[in-house]
Amino acid sequence: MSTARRPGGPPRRAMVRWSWRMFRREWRQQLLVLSLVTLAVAASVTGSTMAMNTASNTQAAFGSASAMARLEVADQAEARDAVATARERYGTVEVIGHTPLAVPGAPLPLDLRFQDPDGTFGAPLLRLRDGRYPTASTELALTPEVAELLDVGVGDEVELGRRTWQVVGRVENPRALTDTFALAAPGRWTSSTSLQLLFEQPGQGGTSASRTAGSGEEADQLPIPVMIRGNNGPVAALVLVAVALLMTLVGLIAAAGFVVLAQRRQRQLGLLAAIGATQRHLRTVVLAHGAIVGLLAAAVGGVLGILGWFAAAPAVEQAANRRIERFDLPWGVLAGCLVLAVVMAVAAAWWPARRVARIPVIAALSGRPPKPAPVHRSTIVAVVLLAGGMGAIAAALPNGDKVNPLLLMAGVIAVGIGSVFIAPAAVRVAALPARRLPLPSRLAVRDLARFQSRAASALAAIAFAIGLSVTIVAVAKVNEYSSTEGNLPANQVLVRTGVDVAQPVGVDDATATEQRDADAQEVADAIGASTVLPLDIVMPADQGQPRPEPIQQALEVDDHSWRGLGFPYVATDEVLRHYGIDPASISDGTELLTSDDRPVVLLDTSTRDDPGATKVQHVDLPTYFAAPHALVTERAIQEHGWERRRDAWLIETERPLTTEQVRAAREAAAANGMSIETRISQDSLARFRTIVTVTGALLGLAIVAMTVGLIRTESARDVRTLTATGASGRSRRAITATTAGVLAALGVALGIGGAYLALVAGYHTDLSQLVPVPWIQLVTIAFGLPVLATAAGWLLAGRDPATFSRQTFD
Amino acid sequence: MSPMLELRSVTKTYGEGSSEVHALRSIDLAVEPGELVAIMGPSGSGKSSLLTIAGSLEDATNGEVVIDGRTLAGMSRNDKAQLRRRSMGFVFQDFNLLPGLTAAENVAMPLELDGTSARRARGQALEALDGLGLADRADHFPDDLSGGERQRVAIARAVVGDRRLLLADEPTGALDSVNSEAVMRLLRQICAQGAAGIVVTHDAQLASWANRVVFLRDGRVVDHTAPPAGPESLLATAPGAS
Repeated sequence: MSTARRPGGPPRRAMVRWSWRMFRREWRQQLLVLSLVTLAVAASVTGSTMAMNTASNTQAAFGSASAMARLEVADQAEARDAVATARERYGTVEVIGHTPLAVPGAPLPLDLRFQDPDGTFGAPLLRLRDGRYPTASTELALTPEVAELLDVGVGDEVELGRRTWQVVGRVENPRALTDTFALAAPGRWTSSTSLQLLFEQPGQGGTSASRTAGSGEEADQLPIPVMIRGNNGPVAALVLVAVALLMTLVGLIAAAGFVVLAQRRQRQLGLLAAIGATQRHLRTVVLAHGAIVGLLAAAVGGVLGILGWFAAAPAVEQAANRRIERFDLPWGVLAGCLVLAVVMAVAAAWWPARRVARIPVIAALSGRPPKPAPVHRSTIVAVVLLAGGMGAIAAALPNGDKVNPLLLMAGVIAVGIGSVFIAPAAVRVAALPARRLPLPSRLAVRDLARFQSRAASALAAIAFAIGLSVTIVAVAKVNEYSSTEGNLPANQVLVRTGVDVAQPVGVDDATATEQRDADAQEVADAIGASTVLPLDIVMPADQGQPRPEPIQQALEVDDHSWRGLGFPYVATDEVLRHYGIDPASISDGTELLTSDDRPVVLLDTSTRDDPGATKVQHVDLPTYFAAPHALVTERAIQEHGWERRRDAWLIETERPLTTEQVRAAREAAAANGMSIETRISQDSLARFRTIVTVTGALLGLAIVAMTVGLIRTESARDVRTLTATGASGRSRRAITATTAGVLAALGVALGIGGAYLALVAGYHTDLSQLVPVPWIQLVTIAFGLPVLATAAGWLLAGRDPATFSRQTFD
Repeated sequence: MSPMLELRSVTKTYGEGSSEVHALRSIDLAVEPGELVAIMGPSGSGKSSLLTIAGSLEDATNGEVVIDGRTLAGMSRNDKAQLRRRSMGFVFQDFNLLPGLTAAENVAMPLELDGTSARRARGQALEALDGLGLADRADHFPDDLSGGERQRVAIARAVVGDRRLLLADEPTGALDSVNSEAVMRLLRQICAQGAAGIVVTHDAQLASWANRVVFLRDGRVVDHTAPPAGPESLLATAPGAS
């Protein structure tokens, strides 16, 4: 009979059809892998959406414009000229005026904003929540925080900037929820102290991050820096790289699941080969299964991820500090996540597909497991990769400040691959003491070594999961303040005269200082504190500047470039006494007393002169960054002609402050027009570490479970033999428990080892940062995972084999 | 007429050195179209090895295997797979039907693997099933079929299309005596229509359905006999038979 044959399509369709039917038939056995991939997709979708929406926050000030310029108004005529020039050059230019107004109790000055709610570019930066927008020159609309601070509502009157205003509405900036301001009617921007210009920059296309138009011909037209709106391309790329890493980990685990599947189908695939299927046809069956798992996981995980996003969006709005439209999803990135999931699932199925397709037909038909394949991974290659990875990480973080992300990623990947390559050697080492072990344990570790190619892959996946968790936990620990770190100790309150922490001005008038001292004492009384330490900042000599910056303690980071380390206070006798420093111990000529070991200087930003060398004496001062950690000597103030101004008071209680005391201090300070600072809480970091630890352990446990299931499938014949020769359920339990326990212990050892290798490389400039070791989490993982794995193996094993005579085909 | 299957001095050795096992020693065997040959022998005599080598599932250590005029030596794995799809069919003791596929889809599988469209392959599969009296079971899954029906589906799969070499390894091993007789009758009928067949069996009574019986022991052909005509011939010559 002559038959029209097409070599490609029909066989492929037949294989895919059978694979789909088998998936429908045996989906319960694939539930673990399917759930894992689905969860990974859901996490990727939710995480990507959160990351993208959070990242776009940096572009908030642009509204819908592609470019923005900020102009400090020193002279109103010049400002008008600059705006006119901008309009001539760019066409439509929206001007938003800003004027800072001090408000008692607020940490920063209130921004009185003159903005058109229907502005061409600025409209997305305003939303009316209640009442109406101001239209008259005496009307204001307030953000909720400002309304609460001033204790006014819509319809009330309020005194601000020595004027009386009528509050007509409540507004917010939907792209910056913490943006606190008072909105005034547009049109009076000329009286503002600074202007924000929004406009379209021709031909930018939103590709560059920033540009300055302050040179050449453009400088003649608009002599102010122009900021160009960036795009989220790099963020999207980073998100996709992170998703790819996650998918790689999940892929390693899924591969173990697909091996189990291929093992189960071995006889059926042997039958297919017997009736004429080629290796390609057989591979298609397993690959189609991977694609089905990937597609289903992508579909279900995608929906779950979006639902997760809906659930998380309110919290993200708070964290991202902006209103987020629920359906404002990064569709391109999400599509990338889903495609990555399918590609990962197919890639994970590739090796099992290739392996099962190569099993001789007779061996496949008989259901005999294939002869364990030797592993050719070199330990030397592993060592080279680990060393190279550490070097790359160290080079990517040369001084702990500047990061080369590509090099860092390459280093992390090299360490990860190095761990994979070293896994077979670890399995072999684990099998060395087998001779001395009881029979069940001996069998278990020898089976691990026999099937070391599979055991090593699983081990690498466990180590990867544990390593990732340990790295995150350790980095979180590094970034957590110890009791001697942070902004302040738990029993101190810093009361400030001003509301602008970034640019304090202090009070210079003796009467005002006396009044402020009394105000600070009221705050201390409100919380029952006995110690009140007045603190003076140092201001440069008067050079006619409207808002000079205080003298800073600074560190030279480059030629003629310094990084500010905060404002030192004056080393008064009272301060020296408080910190136990004997004035007689201060050397002659000393300008700065500091606890900082680095080559710091005193920086006067009012002059452009090189600060030169500062005579520094190291003393024992607190390391808290808001507390007095550097002091300028009276002598230095006299020599440089600087001025001192009372700016803050350090109030100390005997015990850590309670929430009620903090609230009382804040209310007392606000009543006197001052602001306070207390210790920043880091409870969320501790919760975060716990979540990461549990997640890593569960992930490791899931991989152990899959691998043990796989090895047990392959050694089922041995178990039948053992049972037939009289082995009890206890022996069978011991085999499974040992297999699970050894795999988990090795995974933990490699994971923690690899993580700390990477961490040592990353923090090589200051290894002491790693000293607060997260012992609780490490011990939980190091002992908890192997114990859990052993217990689970013991409990779940022990049943008699289902059949002794022969294996069923279906 | 040239033989459909020819084994020339075929030997098969497993293992090396002290663990070397000679499964087949210089076997010569030819099976003509229309002929059903039964292979008998004790366990370990090499029956299954002979069948798998004849079916190109394993390579002979020495000797030559010729199927439908084509020698297997030097043939690639894909060419052998194509030969199995087009020229020969297997019947196993455990039926080996693919779960998840209906009877018709199981039968159509070799044709689809060979590139025949699903619709055309189904048409041929239905014809094959109809020929074996299973037309009404075509859309049933293997789980829904009895043992005898499953083996008949497996036979339909082995003969569907234009294949003329039938290799059966203990095809009645999992069946009761009634179904065993039916299966052997079927194999005999198929061979009578022009196919060549080899059946490996332990059962002398079932072997009596074959045109010829080959006895193996320790990998060698120890006897080669043409048994009396099968049970049907006895019926045909019975007194009063017409």
